[in-house]
Amino acid sequence: MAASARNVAACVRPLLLRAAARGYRATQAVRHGDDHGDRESAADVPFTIVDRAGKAHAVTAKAGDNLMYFAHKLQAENPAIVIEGACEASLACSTCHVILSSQHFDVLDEPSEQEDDMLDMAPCLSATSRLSCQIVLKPELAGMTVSLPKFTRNFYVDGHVPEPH
Amino acid sequence: MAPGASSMLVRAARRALASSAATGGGAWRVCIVGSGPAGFYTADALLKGSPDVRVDILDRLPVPFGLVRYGVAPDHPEVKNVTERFTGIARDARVRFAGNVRVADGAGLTVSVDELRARYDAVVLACGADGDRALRLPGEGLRGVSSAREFVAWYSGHPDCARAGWDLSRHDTAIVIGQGNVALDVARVLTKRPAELASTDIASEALAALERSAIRRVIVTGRRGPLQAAFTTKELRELSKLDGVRLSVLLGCNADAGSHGTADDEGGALSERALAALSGEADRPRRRQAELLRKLWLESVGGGGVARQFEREIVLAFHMQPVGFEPAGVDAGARAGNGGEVAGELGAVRFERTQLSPDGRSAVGTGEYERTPCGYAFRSIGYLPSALPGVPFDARRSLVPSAHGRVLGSADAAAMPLPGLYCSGWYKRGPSGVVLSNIGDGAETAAAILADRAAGTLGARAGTDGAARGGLDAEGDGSLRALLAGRGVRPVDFAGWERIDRHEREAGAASGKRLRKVVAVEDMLRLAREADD
Repeated sequence: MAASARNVAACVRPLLLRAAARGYRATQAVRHGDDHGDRESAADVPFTIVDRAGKAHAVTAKAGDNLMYFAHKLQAENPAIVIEGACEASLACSTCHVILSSQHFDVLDEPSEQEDDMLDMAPCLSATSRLSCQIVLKPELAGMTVSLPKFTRNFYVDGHVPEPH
Repeated sequence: MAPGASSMLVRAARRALASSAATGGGAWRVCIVGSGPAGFYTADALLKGSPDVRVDILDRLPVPFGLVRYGVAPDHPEVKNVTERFTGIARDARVRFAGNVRVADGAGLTVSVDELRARYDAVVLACGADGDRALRLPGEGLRGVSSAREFVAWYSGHPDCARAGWDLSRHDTAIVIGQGNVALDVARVLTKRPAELASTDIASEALAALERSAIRRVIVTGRRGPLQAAFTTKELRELSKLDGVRLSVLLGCNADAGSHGTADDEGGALSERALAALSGEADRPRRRQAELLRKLWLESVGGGGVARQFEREIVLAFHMQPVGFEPAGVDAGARAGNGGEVAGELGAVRFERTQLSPDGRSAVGTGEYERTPCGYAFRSIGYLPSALPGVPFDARRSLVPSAHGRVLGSADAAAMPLPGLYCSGWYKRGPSGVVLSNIGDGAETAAAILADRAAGTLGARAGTDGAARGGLDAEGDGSLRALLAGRGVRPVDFAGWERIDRHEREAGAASGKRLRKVVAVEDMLRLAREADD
């Protein structure tokens, strides 16, 4: 577990991307029994996550990964990447709301009526908002930017951001 | 210095040392009052922000999760998945849960906020809203008039409402006053086929009452128009898709006569022109809801309705302001003429029609009145936080005065924060918002606590002599643990709750339900302690 966690951490460092992706792939099947399909041959999907403080993180997932669960894996090593998932991907909350780069938003199928209804309750809703639990990564999404919205409009209004010790 | 004082200081210092050894050196303590979403998300943000924090979470009931357990509708089990997250937080080694601990004035089996403040570096009030806003209208005390909050608590198996009971078999019409999501929950539970609720965690008594229900029509009324309604699109759409239930939308017309207005009205606030004006990006939620309401309205008028068999009907009626409740079986002359109290059973609700004020913020009466016969009326106009002894309360706004989660000394704009006292969730911002709202809210309160700790202004506990300190896991005489033991309060820890939970799941599996809730507090306590005794 410790070794694979390090591999996830390495994923967020662009210079080590290639080697890291190799290591990450090697541990996929063991760590994520819920993933289906041939992990070995699935294509890399490199993209950028912008955290709630505005900092960009380069990451690489696999085609077929669910964006929310992929982000949850990253969080263990990178606490700035915080995506909730209160309803466990059952379209009953909007805590996994993300904002996509517009050209990549267009690559995806239209959100369902149910997803749109949940998005309507999300703070900081934008034209390219999606629920990350509904996004399955694919090669065409390489290069996209996934921004994590601020939870509320008055979040940290005094500019204070608690630093993890 | 007198010798006695010196030895007292030494004793105090020894206790402080023992206490700090017991808690792992640099540990600091936060007590959260309330174990609903606000409490758990505040705990989560504190745990993420400080590795050496210790968080004790108290609840007056032996069971955790607040409105996730007792407010989220039984047919929305997916919303309750968030308890998995909360369970993960509760199992963090730095967290203790203590159910069956009531925070009030410190008398009897209760603990006061001041006693908590003396023992913790910070106390967070996340105890939600357990009261009702009243209409203060004549006849509100009639049998048949009740609060949606109590009805929800009853069908959710809340111990406080277990004995309330609703005989739904006597009348065919119910009116819900208010148009938030709670109002729609009540309408849905009253009209849904009981068989569809049977497998949920709905309280058995409530399910039995719904099986005997005579209610065929639920009218959900709002003072303002369709664009001001507080319900969410998701809940509205769900109502429109219930099997065997017809959903009608009335635009300021006589609900009893069933007049829907005509297509010539163009739908007023729901006209195509009005909808076109909602074109901005920020208008999207409002626009999508208005589009759905327009579609439902057109179907009600007769435009797009498909002939279906309906067992029950829900009516959404706008621009109706209740002005009084009338008893059944009394002629007009005898009706509460002096505005005083009337006795007996509800027979009708009187409404005044309204129109929107020019700014759209309020409803203005038009002087036209109508009377809608019904046997049940549910007030669903908001929950109210209650005042706590030792905590400032703004009675006018029914809120604790606060800024960014810091409780202020008074409602005065210039008031200063009280050191070490915070609030979160509905107790902080009032009773609105969904589970999600508590994430940002909890983060804001936690950020205030962490910032105050960094600035050295947490205060309260630091000012004591060290004798009265420590929480649920501390050994000292002055710890909360010792205080509770001294008063005869026996808290239920998280393992105790898990025993209750296991029992509820097993009993549920045996009777074809998701889980079968234990309703009586004494039964909860017995189950929680089975391993102890």
